[in-house]
Amino acid sequence: MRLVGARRLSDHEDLSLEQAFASGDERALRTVYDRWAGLVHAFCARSLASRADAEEATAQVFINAWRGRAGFDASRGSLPGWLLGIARREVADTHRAAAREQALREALEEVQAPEDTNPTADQLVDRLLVTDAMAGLRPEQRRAVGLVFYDGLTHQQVASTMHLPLGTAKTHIRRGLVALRRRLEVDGAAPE
Amino acid sequence: MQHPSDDDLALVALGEHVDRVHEHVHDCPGCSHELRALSAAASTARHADLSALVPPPSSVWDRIATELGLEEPVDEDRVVTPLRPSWHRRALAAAAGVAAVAAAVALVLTVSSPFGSSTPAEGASVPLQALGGSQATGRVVLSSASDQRSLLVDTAGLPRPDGYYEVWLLDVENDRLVALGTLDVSGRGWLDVPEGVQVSDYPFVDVSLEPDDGDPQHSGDSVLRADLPALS
Repeated sequence: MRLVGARRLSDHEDLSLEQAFASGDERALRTVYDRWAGLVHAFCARSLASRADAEEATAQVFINAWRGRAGFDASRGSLPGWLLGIARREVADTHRAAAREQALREALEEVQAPEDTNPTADQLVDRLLVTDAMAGLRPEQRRAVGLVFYDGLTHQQVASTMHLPLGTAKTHIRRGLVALRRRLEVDGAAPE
Repeated sequence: MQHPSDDDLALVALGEHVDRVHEHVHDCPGCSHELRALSAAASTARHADLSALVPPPSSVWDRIATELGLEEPVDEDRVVTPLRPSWHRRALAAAAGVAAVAAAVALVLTVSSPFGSSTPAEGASVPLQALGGSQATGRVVLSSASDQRSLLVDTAGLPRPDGYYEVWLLDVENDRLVALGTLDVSGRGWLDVPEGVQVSDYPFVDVSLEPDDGDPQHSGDSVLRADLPALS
Protein backbone atom coordinates (compact mmCIF):
# COMPACT_ATOMS: atom_id res chain seq x y z
CA MET A 1 0.00 0.00 0.00
CA ARG A 2 1.07 3.53 -0.59
CA LEU A 3 1.67 6.21 1.97
CA VAL A 4 -0.65 9.16 1.74
CA GLY A 5 2.22 11.55 2.44
CA ALA A 6 3.94 12.42 5.67
CA ARG A 7 2.31 15.05 7.85
CA ARG A 8 3.58 18.44 6.94
CA LEU A 9 4.53 21.10 9.41
CA SER A 10 1.52 23.22 8.59
CA ASP A 11 -0.69 20.32 9.62
CA HIS A 12 0.84 20.53 13.06
CA GLU A 13 0.16 24.23 13.10
CA ASP A 14 -3.41 23.67 12.00
CA LEU A 15 -3.75 21.14 14.78
CA SER A 16 -2.60 23.56 17.46
CA LEU A 17 -4.88 26.20 16.02
CA GLU A 18 -7.78 23.78 16.11
CA GLN A 19 -7.03 22.99 19.75
CA ALA A 20 -6.90 26.66 20.65
CA PHE A 21 -10.14 27.30 18.79
CA ALA A 22 -11.92 24.43 20.50
CA SER A 23 -10.70 25.62 23.89
CA GLY A 24 -12.37 28.99 23.38
CA ASP A 25 -9.32 31.14 22.70
CA GLU A 26 -10.61 34.30 21.02
CA ARG A 27 -7.24 34.85 19.38
CA ALA A 28 -7.74 31.54 17.66
CA LEU A 29 -11.11 32.69 16.36
CA ARG A 30 -9.45 35.70 14.78
CA THR A 31 -6.68 33.54 13.32
CA VAL A 32 -9.22 31.05 12.01
CA TYR A 33 -11.13 33.94 10.48
CA ASP A 34 -8.02 35.44 8.91
CA ARG A 35 -7.06 32.09 7.48
CA TRP A 36 -10.40 30.83 6.15
CA ALA A 37 -12.76 33.80 5.77
CA GLY A 38 -11.70 33.91 2.12
CA LEU A 39 -12.61 30.26 1.68
CA VAL A 40 -16.00 30.58 3.37
CA HIS A 41 -16.71 33.83 1.57
CA ALA A 42 -15.83 32.25 -1.77
CA PHE A 43 -18.35 29.47 -1.14
CA CYS A 44 -21.09 31.88 -0.03
CA ALA A 45 -20.43 34.31 -2.88
CA ARG A 46 -20.68 31.50 -5.43
CA SER A 47 -23.85 30.10 -3.88
CA LEU A 48 -25.81 33.28 -3.24
CA ALA A 49 -26.73 35.85 -5.83
CA SER A 50 -26.55 38.90 -3.59
CA ARG A 51 -23.26 40.21 -2.32
CA ALA A 52 -24.91 41.39 0.90
CA ASP A 53 -26.35 37.90 1.47
CA ALA A 54 -22.93 36.35 0.88
CA GLU A 55 -21.28 38.63 3.41
CA GLU A 56 -24.01 38.11 5.97
CA ALA A 57 -23.79 34.35 5.47
CA THR A 58 -20.00 34.50 5.88
CA ALA A 59 -20.35 36.35 9.19
CA GLN A 60 -23.03 33.92 10.31
CA VAL A 61 -20.81 30.93 9.56
CA PHE A 62 -18.11 32.18 11.96
CA ILE A 63 -20.70 33.16 14.56
CA ASN A 64 -22.25 29.70 14.40
CA ALA A 65 -18.83 28.06 14.36
CA TRP A 66 -17.74 29.90 17.48
CA ARG A 67 -20.95 29.17 19.33
CA GLY A 68 -20.91 25.57 18.16
CA ARG A 69 -17.18 24.97 18.58
CA ALA A 70 -17.90 22.14 21.03
CA GLY A 71 -19.30 20.26 18.04
CA PHE A 72 -16.04 20.39 16.14
CA ASP A 73 -14.29 17.03 16.16
CA ALA A 74 -10.77 17.15 14.73
CA SER A 75 -10.78 13.38 14.31
CA ARG A 76 -13.61 13.65 11.79
CA GLY A 77 -12.24 16.33 9.52
CA SER A 78 -10.31 19.54 9.26
CA LEU A 79 -11.43 22.92 10.51
CA PRO A 80 -11.86 24.38 7.02
CA GLY A 81 -13.91 21.33 6.04
CA TRP A 82 -16.10 21.83 9.09
CA LEU A 83 -16.50 25.53 8.32
CA LEU A 84 -17.62 24.72 4.79
CA GLY A 85 -20.19 22.30 6.23
CA ILE A 86 -21.62 25.13 8.32
CA ALA A 87 -21.51 27.37 5.27
CA ARG A 88 -23.57 24.86 3.28
CA ARG A 89 -26.29 24.88 5.93
CA GLU A 90 -26.20 28.65 6.13
CA VAL A 91 -26.51 29.00 2.37
CA ALA A 92 -29.40 26.51 2.33
CA ASP A 93 -31.17 28.54 5.03
CA THR A 94 -30.66 31.73 3.05
CA HIS A 95 -32.02 30.06 -0.07
CA ARG A 96 -35.07 28.88 1.82
CA ALA A 97 -35.69 32.32 3.27
CA ALA A 98 -35.25 33.88 -0.16
CA ALA A 99 -37.61 31.32 -1.65
CA ARG A 100 -40.27 32.20 0.89
CA GLU A 101 -39.96 35.89 0.12
CA GLN A 102 -39.99 35.18 -3.55
CA ALA A 103 -43.06 33.02 -3.18
CA LEU A 104 -44.85 35.79 -1.35
CA ARG A 105 -43.89 38.41 -3.89
CA GLU A 106 -44.44 36.49 -7.03
CA ALA A 107 -46.59 33.53 -6.27
CA LEU A 108 -46.75 32.54 -9.90
CA GLU A 109 -43.13 32.72 -10.80
CA GLU A 110 -41.00 29.72 -10.21
CA VAL A 111 -38.03 30.18 -7.93
CA GLN A 112 -34.88 30.40 -9.98
CA ALA A 113 -32.98 27.17 -9.62
CA PRO A 114 -29.22 27.21 -10.04
CA GLU A 115 -28.28 26.85 -13.68
CA ASP A 116 -27.21 23.46 -14.88
CA THR A 117 -23.82 24.76 -15.86
CA ASN A 118 -23.07 25.73 -12.27
CA PRO A 119 -21.24 23.20 -10.18
CA THR A 120 -23.25 21.35 -7.57
CA ALA A 121 -22.72 22.31 -3.93
CA ASP A 122 -20.65 19.13 -3.52
CA GLN A 123 -18.42 20.03 -6.43
CA LEU A 124 -18.09 23.60 -5.23
CA VAL A 125 -17.09 22.46 -1.74
CA ASP A 126 -14.53 20.07 -3.18
CA ARG A 127 -13.06 22.66 -5.53
CA LEU A 128 -12.73 25.19 -2.75
CA LEU A 129 -11.21 22.62 -0.40
CA VAL A 130 -8.65 21.79 -3.02
CA THR A 131 -8.06 25.48 -3.66
CA ASP A 132 -7.43 25.99 0.04
CA ALA A 133 -5.13 22.97 0.07
CA MET A 134 -3.28 24.41 -2.95
CA ALA A 135 -2.79 27.67 -1.09
CA GLY A 136 -1.31 25.69 1.81
CA LEU A 137 1.19 23.72 -0.28
CA ARG A 138 4.86 24.47 -0.03
CA PRO A 139 5.66 27.05 -2.71
CA GLU A 140 7.74 24.70 -4.85
CA GLN A 141 5.01 22.04 -4.81
CA ARG A 142 2.31 24.56 -5.62
CA ARG A 143 4.32 25.93 -8.50
CA ALA A 144 5.03 22.44 -9.83
CA VAL A 145 1.43 21.19 -9.75
CA GLY A 146 0.21 24.57 -10.99
CA LEU A 147 2.43 24.27 -14.05
CA VAL A 148 0.97 20.83 -14.71
CA PHE A 149 -2.67 21.74 -14.07
CA TYR A 150 -2.95 25.17 -15.58
CA ASP A 151 -0.14 25.31 -18.11
CA GLY A 152 -0.36 21.69 -19.18
CA LEU A 153 3.36 21.07 -18.76
CA THR A 154 4.89 17.62 -18.54
CA HIS A 155 7.23 16.82 -15.67
CA GLN A 156 10.21 17.32 -17.99
CA GLN A 157 8.97 20.80 -18.83
CA VAL A 158 8.30 21.52 -15.15
CA ALA A 159 11.86 20.49 -14.36
CA SER A 160 13.32 22.75 -17.00
CA THR A 161 11.02 25.67 -16.13
CA MET A 162 11.86 25.43 -12.44
CA HIS A 163 15.52 24.54 -13.06
CA LEU A 164 15.19 21.32 -11.11
CA PRO A 165 16.49 17.81 -11.62
CA LEU A 166 13.84 15.54 -13.14
CA GLY A 167 13.48 13.46 -9.99
CA THR A 168 12.95 16.54 -7.83
CA ALA A 169 10.29 17.88 -10.17
CA LYS A 170 8.48 14.55 -10.09
CA THR A 171 8.60 14.48 -6.32
CA HIS A 172 7.21 18.01 -6.01
CA ILE A 173 4.39 17.11 -8.37
CA ARG A 174 3.58 13.88 -6.57
CA ARG A 175 3.68 15.41 -3.08
CA GLY A 176 1.51 18.30 -4.18
CA LEU A 177 -1.04 16.00 -5.75
CA VAL A 178 -1.06 13.66 -2.76
CA ALA A 179 -1.69 16.59 -0.38
CA LEU A 180 -4.67 17.70 -2.48
CA ARG A 181 -6.01 14.18 -2.59
CA ARG A 182 -5.66 13.80 1.16
CA ARG A 183 -7.66 16.96 1.75
CA LEU A 184 -10.43 15.63 -0.47
CA GLU A 185 -10.42 12.30 1.32
CA VAL A 186 -10.60 13.93 4.75
CA ASP A 187 -13.21 16.57 3.98
CA GLY A 188 -14.48 15.99 0.47
CA ALA A 189 -18.19 16.21 -0.20
CA ALA A 190 -18.62 14.49 -3.54
CA PRO A 191 -18.99 10.71 -3.55
CA GLU A 192 -16.17 8.90 -5.32
CA MET B 1 5.30 -7.83 -11.30
CA GLN B 2 6.82 -4.70 -9.88
CA HIS B 3 4.60 -1.78 -8.84
CA PRO B 4 5.37 1.58 -10.40
CA SER B 5 6.93 4.26 -8.21
CA ASP B 6 4.64 6.73 -6.46
CA ASP B 7 6.09 9.49 -8.62
CA ASP B 8 5.29 7.64 -11.84
CA LEU B 9 1.78 6.79 -10.75
CA ALA B 10 1.14 10.46 -9.96
CA LEU B 11 2.36 11.41 -13.44
CA VAL B 12 0.01 8.91 -15.03
CA ALA B 13 -2.84 10.32 -12.94
CA LEU B 14 -1.96 13.70 -14.41
CA GLY B 15 -2.19 12.36 -17.93
CA GLU B 16 1.41 11.62 -18.77
CA HIS B 17 2.42 8.41 -20.42
CA VAL B 18 4.93 6.38 -18.45
CA ASP B 19 6.21 3.14 -19.97
CA ARG B 20 4.56 -0.02 -18.66
CA VAL B 21 2.58 1.75 -15.93
CA HIS B 22 -0.72 1.60 -17.80
CA GLU B 23 -0.31 -2.11 -18.41
CA HIS B 24 0.53 -2.75 -14.79
CA VAL B 25 -2.35 -0.70 -13.41
CA HIS B 26 -4.77 -2.56 -15.61
CA ASP B 27 -3.94 -5.80 -13.82
CA CYS B 28 -3.29 -4.49 -10.30
CA PRO B 29 -6.32 -3.58 -8.16
CA GLY B 30 -4.23 -1.70 -5.57
CA CYS B 31 -2.50 0.55 -8.08
CA SER B 32 -5.71 0.95 -10.02
CA HIS B 33 -7.47 2.24 -6.89
CA GLU B 34 -4.59 4.62 -6.20
CA LEU B 35 -4.68 5.91 -9.73
CA ARG B 36 -8.41 6.58 -9.61
CA ALA B 37 -8.10 8.53 -6.35
CA LEU B 38 -5.20 10.60 -7.65
CA SER B 39 -6.97 11.25 -10.94
CA ALA B 40 -10.10 12.40 -9.11
CA ALA B 41 -8.03 14.82 -7.02
CA ALA B 42 -6.30 16.08 -10.17
CA SER B 43 -9.59 16.56 -11.95
CA THR B 44 -11.03 18.59 -9.07
CA ALA B 45 -7.82 20.54 -8.68
CA ARG B 46 -7.93 21.65 -12.31
CA HIS B 47 -10.97 23.70 -11.27
CA ALA B 48 -9.17 25.19 -8.29
CA ASP B 49 -8.91 28.94 -8.51
CA LEU B 50 -6.60 30.60 -6.02
CA SER B 51 -7.97 34.00 -6.91
CA ALA B 52 -11.34 32.85 -5.52
CA LEU B 53 -10.10 33.06 -1.96
CA VAL B 54 -10.70 36.76 -1.55
CA PRO B 55 -11.19 37.91 2.02
CA PRO B 56 -14.56 39.53 2.69
CA PRO B 57 -14.67 43.23 3.63
CA SER B 58 -13.77 44.13 7.21
CA SER B 59 -17.43 44.83 7.99
CA VAL B 60 -17.91 41.04 8.12
CA TRP B 61 -15.50 40.68 11.01
CA ASP B 62 -17.08 43.68 12.75
CA ARG B 63 -20.44 41.96 12.48
CA ILE B 64 -19.01 38.78 14.04
CA ALA B 65 -17.29 40.68 16.85
CA THR B 66 -20.48 42.60 17.64
CA GLU B 67 -22.68 39.52 17.55
CA LEU B 68 -20.36 37.50 19.75
CA GLY B 69 -19.63 40.40 22.10
CA LEU B 70 -15.88 40.16 21.58
CA GLU B 71 -14.21 42.77 23.73
CA GLU B 72 -13.56 45.06 20.77
CA PRO B 73 -13.44 44.74 17.03
CA VAL B 74 -9.97 43.48 16.24
CA ASP B 75 -8.29 46.01 14.02
CA GLU B 76 -4.83 45.82 12.60
CA ASP B 77 -3.20 47.94 15.29
CA ARG B 78 -4.72 45.94 18.08
CA VAL B 79 -2.16 44.33 20.30
CA VAL B 80 -3.20 40.77 20.77
CA THR B 81 -1.15 39.67 23.70
CA PRO B 82 -2.54 40.87 27.03
CA LEU B 83 0.99 41.47 28.29
CA ARG B 84 1.59 44.49 26.12
CA PRO B 85 1.38 47.90 27.84
CA SER B 86 -1.09 49.30 25.32
CA TRP B 87 -3.45 46.42 26.08
CA HIS B 88 -3.32 47.29 29.78
CA ARG B 89 -3.99 50.92 29.05
CA ARG B 90 -7.00 50.00 27.00
CA ALA B 91 -8.27 47.47 29.48
CA LEU B 92 -7.96 49.95 32.32
CA ALA B 93 -9.67 52.64 30.35
CA ALA B 94 -12.47 50.34 29.33
CA ALA B 95 -15.72 49.80 31.17
CA ALA B 96 -15.76 47.22 33.95
CA GLY B 97 -17.62 44.69 31.82
CA VAL B 98 -15.09 44.97 29.05
CA ALA B 99 -12.28 44.60 31.53
CA ALA B 100 -13.92 41.46 32.85
CA VAL B 101 -14.04 40.01 29.36
CA ALA B 102 -10.40 40.92 28.83
CA ALA B 103 -9.54 39.21 32.11
CA ALA B 104 -11.46 36.13 31.02
CA VAL B 105 -9.56 36.13 27.74
CA ALA B 106 -6.28 36.45 29.59
CA LEU B 107 -7.30 33.53 31.77
CA VAL B 108 -8.15 31.41 28.76
CA LEU B 109 -4.82 32.31 27.20
CA THR B 110 -3.09 31.23 30.35
CA VAL B 111 -4.87 27.93 30.80
CA SER B 112 -4.92 27.06 27.12
CA SER B 113 -1.18 26.95 26.73
CA PRO B 114 0.16 24.56 29.33
CA PHE B 115 1.89 22.66 26.53
CA GLY B 116 5.10 20.84 27.15
CA SER B 117 8.07 21.66 24.97
CA SER B 118 7.27 18.92 22.49
CA THR B 119 3.80 20.17 21.69
CA PRO B 120 3.19 23.05 19.34
CA ALA B 121 3.63 26.49 20.86
CA GLU B 122 2.36 29.61 19.26
CA GLY B 123 3.56 33.12 19.83
CA ALA B 124 1.45 36.22 19.82
CA SER B 125 -0.07 37.40 16.61
CA VAL B 126 1.56 40.71 15.76
CA PRO B 127 0.31 43.20 13.18
CA LEU B 128 2.42 44.06 10.17
CA GLN B 129 2.83 47.78 9.59
CA ALA B 130 2.68 49.14 6.08
CA LEU B 131 5.77 50.94 4.79
CA GLY B 132 6.24 53.34 1.92
CA GLY B 133 2.62 54.41 1.54
CA SER B 134 1.29 50.89 1.15
CA GLN B 135 -2.33 50.29 2.16
CA ALA B 136 -1.67 46.66 2.99
CA THR B 137 -2.26 45.07 6.39
CA GLY B 138 -1.33 41.76 7.88
CA ARG B 139 -0.09 39.83 10.85
CA VAL B 140 2.63 37.37 11.73
CA VAL B 141 2.72 34.52 14.22
CA LEU B 142 5.86 32.63 15.16
CA SER B 143 5.16 29.08 16.22
CA SER B 144 7.10 25.99 17.07
CA ALA B 145 6.30 22.30 16.70
CA SER B 146 8.71 19.46 17.29
CA ASP B 147 11.57 21.96 17.46
CA GLN B 148 10.75 23.29 14.01
CA ARG B 149 9.91 26.96 14.19
CA SER B 150 7.78 28.50 11.52
CA LEU B 151 6.37 31.87 10.77
CA LEU B 152 2.84 32.40 9.58
CA VAL B 153 2.60 35.57 7.54
CA ASP B 154 -0.87 36.62 6.51
CA THR B 155 -1.40 39.79 4.53
CA ALA B 156 -4.28 41.59 2.91
CA GLY B 157 -4.36 44.43 0.44
CA LEU B 158 -0.99 43.95 -1.23
CA PRO B 159 -1.30 44.75 -4.91
CA ARG B 160 -0.56 42.02 -7.43
CA PRO B 161 3.21 42.20 -7.60
CA ASP B 162 5.36 42.85 -10.59
CA GLY B 163 7.64 40.08 -9.37
CA TYR B 164 6.91 38.53 -5.97
CA TYR B 165 6.80 39.22 -2.24
CA GLU B 166 9.56 37.81 -0.07
CA VAL B 167 9.71 37.49 3.70
CA TRP B 168 12.88 38.21 5.68
CA LEU B 169 14.15 38.24 9.23
CA LEU B 170 16.04 41.44 9.93
CA ASP B 171 18.45 42.48 12.66
CA VAL B 172 18.32 45.84 14.45
CA GLU B 173 20.92 47.47 12.21
CA ASN B 174 19.13 46.23 9.08
CA ASP B 175 22.40 44.79 7.83
CA ARG B 176 21.86 41.10 8.55
CA LEU B 177 19.04 39.29 6.83
CA VAL B 178 17.63 35.81 6.57
CA ALA B 179 15.40 35.08 3.57
CA LEU B 180 12.53 32.84 4.72
CA GLY B 181 10.53 32.43 1.54
CA THR B 182 7.80 33.99 -0.53
CA LEU B 183 4.13 34.81 -0.10
CA ASP B 184 1.63 32.87 -2.16
CA VAL B 185 -0.93 34.49 -4.44
CA SER B 186 -3.33 34.90 -1.53
CA GLY B 187 -0.66 36.93 0.29
CA ARG B 188 0.06 34.22 2.80
CA GLY B 189 3.06 32.15 3.76
CA TRP B 190 3.86 29.38 6.24
CA LEU B 191 7.60 29.64 6.33
CA ASP B 192 10.12 27.50 8.15
CA VAL B 193 12.76 29.28 10.19
CA PRO B 194 16.09 27.53 9.54
CA GLU B 195 17.27 25.54 12.52
CA GLY B 196 20.59 27.34 12.83
CA VAL B 197 19.03 30.79 13.06
CA GLN B 198 18.98 32.48 16.47
CA VAL B 199 15.60 34.20 16.25
CA SER B 200 16.40 36.66 19.02
CA ASP B 201 19.13 38.13 16.80
CA TYR B 202 16.51 39.20 14.26
CA PRO B 203 13.78 41.24 15.91
CA PHE B 204 11.99 42.27 12.71
CA VAL B 205 9.96 40.53 10.05
CA ASP B 206 10.14 42.30 6.72
CA VAL B 207 8.12 41.75 3.56
CA SER B 208 9.72 43.08 0.39
CA LEU B 209 8.62 43.42 -3.19
CA GLU B 210 11.21 41.60 -5.29
CA PRO B 211 11.57 42.03 -9.03
CA ASP B 212 11.99 38.83 -11.02
CA ASP B 213 15.61 39.63 -11.80
CA GLY B 214 17.30 36.56 -10.38
CA ASP B 215 19.10 38.65 -7.76
CA PRO B 216 18.76 36.91 -4.39
CA GLN B 217 19.49 40.10 -2.42
CA HIS B 218 16.83 42.19 -0.72
CA SER B 219 15.50 44.70 -3.24
CA GLY B 220 15.35 47.48 -0.65
CA ASP B 221 11.65 47.84 -1.42
CA SER B 222 10.03 46.89 1.90
CA VAL B 223 6.23 46.98 1.99
CA LEU B 224 5.37 45.56 5.43
CA ARG B 225 7.23 45.13 8.68
CA ALA B 226 6.56 43.75 12.16
CA ASP B 227 8.35 43.17 15.43
CA LEU B 228 9.10 39.48 15.51
CA PRO B 229 6.64 37.98 17.99
CA ALA B 230 8.13 35.99 20.85
CA LEU B 231 7.09 32.40 21.39
CA SER B 232 4.71 31.90 24.26
